[in-house]
Amino acid sequence: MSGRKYTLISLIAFAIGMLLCALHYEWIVIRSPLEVIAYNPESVQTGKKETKLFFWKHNKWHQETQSLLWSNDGAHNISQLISALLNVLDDEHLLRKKIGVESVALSPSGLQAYISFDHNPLPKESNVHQKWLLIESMLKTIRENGIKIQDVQFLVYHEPLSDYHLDFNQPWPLNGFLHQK
Amino acid sequence: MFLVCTVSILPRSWTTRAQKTVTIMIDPAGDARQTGRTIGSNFERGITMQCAEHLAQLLKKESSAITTVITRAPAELVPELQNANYANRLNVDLFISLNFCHTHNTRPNMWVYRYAQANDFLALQTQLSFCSYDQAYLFNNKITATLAADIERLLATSTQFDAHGPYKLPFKPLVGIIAPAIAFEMELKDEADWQTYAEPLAQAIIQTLRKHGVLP
Repeated sequence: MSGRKYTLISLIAFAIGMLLCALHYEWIVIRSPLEVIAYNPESVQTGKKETKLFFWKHNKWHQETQSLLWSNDGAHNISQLISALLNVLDDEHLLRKKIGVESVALSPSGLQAYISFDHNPLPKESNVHQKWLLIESMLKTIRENGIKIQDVQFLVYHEPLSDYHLDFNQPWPLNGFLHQK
Repeated sequence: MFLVCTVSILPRSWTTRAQKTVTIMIDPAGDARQTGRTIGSNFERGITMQCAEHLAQLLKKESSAITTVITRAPAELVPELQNANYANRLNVDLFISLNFCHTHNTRPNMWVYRYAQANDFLALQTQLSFCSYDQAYLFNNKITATLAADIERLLATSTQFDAHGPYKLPFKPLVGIIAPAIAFEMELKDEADWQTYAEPLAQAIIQTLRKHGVLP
């Protein structure tokens, strides 16, 4: 075989390799023209709902009512609730800095929620009891607004929330630990 | 790394054994990397270390049957699960985690915690088996609950602070420990106030161990 053939085969192999690499890393996306992505706006029903937000301050539970945009999408509702609660907590000076909800997703079974924050919501200087009750405030708010999930996994930028005292490697039960002694 | 191998003899009869020595492991919060919270002009890790050393002295002074082990030296780095690993290998009788935070309250609080996960109604099998590290506490869950309640009851009689608990919580410093493991978080108005906790804590631990027949 001549040197020219080797060069040609090498170039073809290189081109195929680059193509497969581009497909693998999704630099190139191939979509069938027969595939139609249908968006049915009627499947998402939204409306206003009076929601209850709970937080712990001065050794007792406080409740605030807020009207939120409610839909039949559980993840959207949890996102709305936690965002509203974080705003309330910020107004009450219970957070050291402004915290936002990055994204919320539900597991395929719909029983576990993944809540990802843009910063760690637990202040480093707080005592464990304060940090714990901040988490319990979120769980109670989700629970009392009738969202049917069992566990919540708390994340920061899609990684488990890291704290020296509280363990977030496992999901927290929606009922929390407050009534367990 | 994530599994703690457990053997059938591990869930031994904790309360009934008459022992020559009782090993208490004391874990002062923080390490070379984790400074902990700021209390006055000090970091939590320094105060917990002082308290741990003083508590160890008090416990040993109270009973010659007690051996104490402090989980770290002042400038040591403690990797995750190292304390659990050592506590399980040493087969300690009690694990104590000490934590401090700052307060402006006129009367400081103390909280007592023990480890729990959501599914702690599960019973571990008694024969040779593997269990995940976060369920190791189930071996001595009942005795931990009793000890924590008794210690909290004794601490609640203190006139210098308010004791609360014991609460069940996924408290990270206690994860993976088979022996009864209890954490204390104590509020300090001033960095030197840790001494007000050491004596009542030592007395509560000693009295509880005597009540359960572990100490003569």
